[in-house]
Formats: sequence, C-alpha cells, structure tokens
Amino acid sequence: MTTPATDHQATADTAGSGGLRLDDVTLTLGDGDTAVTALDHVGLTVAPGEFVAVVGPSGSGKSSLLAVAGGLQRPTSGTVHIAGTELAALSDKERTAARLRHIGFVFQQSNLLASLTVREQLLLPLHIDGRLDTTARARADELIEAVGLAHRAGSRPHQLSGGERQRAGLARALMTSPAVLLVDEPTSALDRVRSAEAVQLIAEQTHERGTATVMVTHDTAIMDAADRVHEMVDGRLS
Amino acid sequence: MVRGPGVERAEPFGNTLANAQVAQGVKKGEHVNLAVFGMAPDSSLAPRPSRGEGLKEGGAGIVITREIADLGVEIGDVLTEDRSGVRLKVVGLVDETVSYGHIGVVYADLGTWRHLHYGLPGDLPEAASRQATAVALTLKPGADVAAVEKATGTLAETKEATFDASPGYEAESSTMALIKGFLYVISALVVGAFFTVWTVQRKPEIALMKALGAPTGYILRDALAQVVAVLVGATALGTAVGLALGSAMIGKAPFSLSAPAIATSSGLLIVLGTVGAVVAVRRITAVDPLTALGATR
Repeated sequence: MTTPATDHQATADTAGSGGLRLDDVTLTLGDGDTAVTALDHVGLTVAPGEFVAVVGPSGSGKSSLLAVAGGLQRPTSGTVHIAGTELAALSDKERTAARLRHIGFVFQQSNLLASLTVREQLLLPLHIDGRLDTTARARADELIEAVGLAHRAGSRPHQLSGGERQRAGLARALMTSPAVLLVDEPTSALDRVRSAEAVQLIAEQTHERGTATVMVTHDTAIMDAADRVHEMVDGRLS
Repeated sequence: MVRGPGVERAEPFGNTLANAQVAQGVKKGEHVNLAVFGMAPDSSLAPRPSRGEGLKEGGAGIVITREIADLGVEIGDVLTEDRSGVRLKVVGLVDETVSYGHIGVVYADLGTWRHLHYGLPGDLPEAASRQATAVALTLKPGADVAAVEKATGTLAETKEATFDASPGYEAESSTMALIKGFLYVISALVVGAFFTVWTVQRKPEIALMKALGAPTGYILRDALAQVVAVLVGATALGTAVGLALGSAMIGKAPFSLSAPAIATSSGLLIVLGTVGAVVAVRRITAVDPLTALGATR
C-alpha cells in the first residue's frame, strides 16, 4: 500500500483525515544508561491547510518530531498518520515511497543539489518517481512563478541568495502536492526581513494548497505567521 | 628432407649471431652486430626487399633490415665478418624493423650462413654443408605432427612457441605481462579510491535524495551510470593520449598498437574500473537519510 487509500480517509476520524496526526508518540534514542527520550508522549494533529509552528531550544526534540512525522524514523511507541495512513504499517520501501509522494520536506539552508538548476531541483522528485511529463514541467514552472523565482529557473544553487535557495527548497517540497509539509529551521541562514518573507510565503502556500504544515524553529520572531504555535521542551509538546 | 603426412613444405632455416666490420661504405671501419638468418633464396622464408635485390645462392649477398640501415649501412656496402673473414655485400633492404634478441637481422643464403655459423671461409666439410638450425614446416590441415617428429627424430613447435627460445624473449615478455597485470589491478584500485572519495563527498546529497524519497536503487543506478560515463570518457582520452605519445616515439623506439589490443585493454580497464567503483558506491546503501535534517536535533 503505497498510496493512502481514499476509503481509509472516509472511515478515519475527521481529525486524522487528510492531514497529519501523531498519537502518543515516544521516541527513545540510544539504550541503557545513555538512553535519551527525544519525544515524550507527543500528540499533534494538523489539519489540511493549517500552519503549525513548533518552537523550542536546541535539543528539545524538534528535529526528532520532524524525523518521526516525516517517516525518516520509526517512533518507539505511538502512531503517526499521514493523510489517513498509519506509517508504522508500511514497509521501509513503502515508507520511502510515502515520503516521495505525500510528504514535502523543507530542510535547513534549503539543501539543494549543487549540480542542478532550480527547475531541475523541482523536477527531481518526479524523476525519481518516473512521472516526469509535461504536466510535471508545467507544475514546476507554476511553482517557480509562485515563489518568485521565474528569473532564476535556470540558475544553480551557488548563484542564488540564501532567500532564493530557501524559496527553491519550498517549491521543490510542494512539487508532489504533498499532504504534509515539514519545515526545518527555514530561517537559519536568513536575516530578519528575509526570514519574515520566507515564513509568509510558507503560510501562503499552506493555505492556498491545503498542506498540513509543521515548521520547527528556535526563532520566536517568525511565529506570527503560524495559525497555531506549540512549544517543545525536553521532548514534551505543550 | 622432412616428409610426412600433411607436410606441404619443409625449409631449412639457419640462425646465428655474428660481428662484422664495414669494409666498404660511408661507415667504413664501424663495427656492427648482426643476427644472421639463413634460408634458401627460393624458399618461402626468403626476404622480399623493398629496395635492391633479393638473395642469390652462393652470392655472399645479404639483405639488411631497417635496424642495420639506421646504423648507416647502405646497399652496395661490403661488410667483413670477424671470425670467418667472409665479405658480405649488401644487395637489398627490407624496410622494416626486424630484430632477434635486440640485434638487427640480416638475411643470407644458406651457404653464406653456414660460413658465418662455423666461422670458416672457403669449402666447408661435408657435415657442415647440410647444417641448419631448424626446419620450417608449412602444414596442411590435419597434418600429423607427431608422426613427423617420430619419423625424423625431431621436436616440432609452433612458430609462437619458438619465440621463447630467442635470447631474453621469455624473460622480457613475462616481465611485461606482469607489469601489465599489476597496472590493471592498480587501475581498478585507483578507480575504486576515486569513487570512494566521490561517494563520501556526496554523502549529504545522498542523504537528501533519500530523505526526499529516492529509493537506494535509484541512487545506485544514478551513481553507476556516472561511473561508467566517467570511465568510458577517461579511457577514450587515455587511449588518445597513448596513441599520440606512441606515434611521436615511432622511429626512436619500437611502437605498435593494434585495434584488438586497444579494444582488449580499454575493455579491461572499464570492466575492472567498474568493479572497483561498485565496491566504492556500495556505501551509498549505508547513508542515513536522517542526516539531511539539521544538526539541532
């Protein structure tokens, strides 16, 4: 089962359908005396079109939250639903495919591939999926336009400013029309004005495209754009 | 001389090393080393000169090859062989590098060769007048070599096998083969090391692609396609450079590069390089997509 079946969505409770739902998620890293509880009974529900910010200091478990919500790491206990599908029920291969099709990641400092142009960065997820067609190209152009990079479509990462790289990363994450958008410290490489712009753009795209968006950051100044703000301390979410 | 089932021709062949001095010619007084090949002027072994004339029975004329001509010996020159004192007139030139044990070859008729071989001028004893080093057999398909050996009390070898009997040939060729073998192994190791560094440097990008949802197989295929492209391009470039350098050396050193040799060595380099690279890019499977997330976790 690589696609969240629509009949699942129909039967799932309203809170879980479409968006992201974490139920009682605990993640323990290491074992024995060195064990660390990165996530401590975390529950979080994000509806489609909702922009949730999670703030907290370094080491509070914010990135672990993204890793578990994005299917990069299996929780020690608890469940994660993406668009009605329980991630733990999937095999490793299926989880990889679910990441590709239903989860969009925006990484710190955008993480673009050095040798690809902006347009190629966007087309990459669909190339991986073997779905590179004219529809995909049209969508890439539309997204490049939407994030204001039309004049930069043929540029490579080293020719872009930090803000432009961040916008390219966001556009790439949106290419597959993901149900869930996970954003990791989007403003770590940006100044105050650029940071506000970048987060504003994420908020706009979330509302416009109906993604369930979680942004983790330690930058409390950019929380205003979010619909909801949670605070994370020692693996616990308030 | 040698008869047997399937023997088409049997031709005596003489082989000896001699020293001579130029008695008449531009290089008069110069000493030259000769590898003398003797054969009947009408045999299939006889040289076909590109200039001058061929061998004649009893004429004491010799046909030189390029290696001797490069020393300044010309058609019309006369050489005196040291031991026998026989005067050898240069009648023709085969414009090819032919050497035996790194000594330039000259061709002589069998009578002349026997004088040089025994170091005797004048009439030769009866026993010497039938002497040859070997007999060259030309065989028909299905020839019974064993029967020929038995009937004549001789030992038959293929032409290639007799090369090993020439001075230093086996030692030199086995040394070269060893060097070649090591170079192939080293090239596989170098290619493996190159792509190991490449893979390690790409780790963040590999983690990113995995996090985006690229299956490991996709990344491996992509890496191997790049490996093969690099190997094919680099091998083509290397072959071109080798050919250019080799061509520049022609005349100063023996150089020969045949299409099959190029194909074999290029093929081996690409195959062995790919093997080395496969070992290197296997570490792609071990890259953890989690590392694509920030260091703040």
